[in-house]
Amino acid sequence: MLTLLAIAFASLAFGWQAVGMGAVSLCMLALMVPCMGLAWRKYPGAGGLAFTLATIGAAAGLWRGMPLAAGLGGVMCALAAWDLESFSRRLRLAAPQDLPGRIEGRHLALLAVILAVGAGISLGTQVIHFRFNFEWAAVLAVLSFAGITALVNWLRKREN
Amino acid sequence: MTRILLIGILLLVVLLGGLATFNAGWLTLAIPLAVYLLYAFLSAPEGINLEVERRISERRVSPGQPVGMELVITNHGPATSQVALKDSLPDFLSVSEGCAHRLVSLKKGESMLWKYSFTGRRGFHKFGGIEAIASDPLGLLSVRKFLPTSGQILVLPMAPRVRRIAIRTRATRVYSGNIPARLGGSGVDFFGLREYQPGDPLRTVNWRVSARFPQALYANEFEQERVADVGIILDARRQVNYIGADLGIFDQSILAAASLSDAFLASGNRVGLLVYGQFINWTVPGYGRLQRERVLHALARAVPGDSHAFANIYIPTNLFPSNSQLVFISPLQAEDVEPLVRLRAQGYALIVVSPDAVRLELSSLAHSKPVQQAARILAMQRRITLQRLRHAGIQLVDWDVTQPFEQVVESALSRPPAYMRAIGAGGAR
Repeated sequence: MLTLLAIAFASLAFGWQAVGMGAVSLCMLALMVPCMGLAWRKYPGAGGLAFTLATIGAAAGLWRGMPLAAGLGGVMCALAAWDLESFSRRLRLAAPQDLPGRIEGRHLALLAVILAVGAGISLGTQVIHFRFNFEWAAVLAVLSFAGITALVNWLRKREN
Repeated sequence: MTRILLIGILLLVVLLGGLATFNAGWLTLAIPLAVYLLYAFLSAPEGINLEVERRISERRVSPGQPVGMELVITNHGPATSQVALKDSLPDFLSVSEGCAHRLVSLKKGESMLWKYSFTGRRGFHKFGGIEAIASDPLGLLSVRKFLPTSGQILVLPMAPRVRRIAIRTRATRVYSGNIPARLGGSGVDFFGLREYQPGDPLRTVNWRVSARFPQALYANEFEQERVADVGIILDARRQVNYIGADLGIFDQSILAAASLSDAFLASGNRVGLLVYGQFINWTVPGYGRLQRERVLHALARAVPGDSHAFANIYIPTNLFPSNSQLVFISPLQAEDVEPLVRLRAQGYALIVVSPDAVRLELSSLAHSKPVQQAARILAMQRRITLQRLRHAGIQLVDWDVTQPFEQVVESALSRPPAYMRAIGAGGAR
């Protein structure tokens, strides 16, 4: 998890450096330190905090022209770190006879597949280009907002 | 914030931001998040339909004795990719082998056997059920369910064996025992002389007295030995038992109560128990092994409470007639002297067993000068309290809990107190 966090923030720092904003790049590296410290101390919100910061950092960077690979790499590593933090908490409940090593292996394989699919689609979109006019973009925005809100609400209700 | 909400918000912000700013990079950034969320959505658990059967190898054990637990879990619902199962154990039980939690995946109709063993200190616990949390493989979405089970465990307190406690009550019961009853009859100790009655065994004839007074034959009379009523009062007030921290002084009091009740019951006495905590919890007096079980059960369940009104303690005379024996087990406070003296004045023979909380607490503290001074003051207060009780004719056992209880109590209570022996009330036992 610590390695993933380090890669995530280093990737973002590299991206910011590439757009010529060394100060922000240093900020990214500076943010890495408390996030890794919290993760080291097993603070429960460390992964979530790092994921949020990495997503904001990547989004802002992409807006300023950061290379997509750097932004995407940063977010995906932070997402993986956030996932592993939660997984390690769940794995603590496993007894030796549940073969925690096997559960861990299965989870890592699944995470790798999900991230690979995500990265594949993301990079695929670089090849296939769609051009929207403003009306289509607005419709898509409203639909996305409504769809994701409904999905998250539905999932949360199910969880409760 | 739940994980699902966090990723949902981030996805929404990135997606809407991308659409609003016509930034393709943001939309690209949203894709891995959307894939992650979508996978969780597709593999979300439908619900939990598990049945649990609990089997416990023992229901009544002594402290430290291992108990086997078996849980048979059957999945009557759809296959679950990840179910966390947690069996909650109270503080006084600890797992000795295996685990009290599992992380398993169960196919439809599959059963699993979950075994672990535990040991415990004193206490009683009713197993309510186990907690099951089914989640998708990414842990974004989970469903909780409490799966009810039945079963209970009773860990009885330790009761070191005390061989003999000499008590001398003014009133005894009709059954023969080993407490001198101040009544002539058959027994061991000489009680007095009376005129020989036809039917008296010839060996009871006191020939010396009969020779001195030749007009009649005189026979020796022996003191009858009977059983008595013994009431054990266990002080379970929190403010007395928890001095600075929970150092286990209450458990020492429990041990003393168990040991004494065992000894009194073994001598044939009628023993009752009063646990004086938040509520007054009576175990009605009785005899024999069944009563021993009742007392041990009550002691196993005893917990300290917040009662402050020891001054108004009332002993129902229908359960414990005055002139019977009371044993008060408490670390003691200075304010306890008056009610105890009042009980003594009502005619009860009173023994106070007091585990030394001051010495116990001192052993757990750093040996600094202020601590030593405070300990000296507290020890002095305790000595004064004990002296006041002694002056009121109350038998005392000042128990340094680092010493074995049975040794302390045997050296203190195996003979009647000196003042009783001095006035001839204690017998030569």
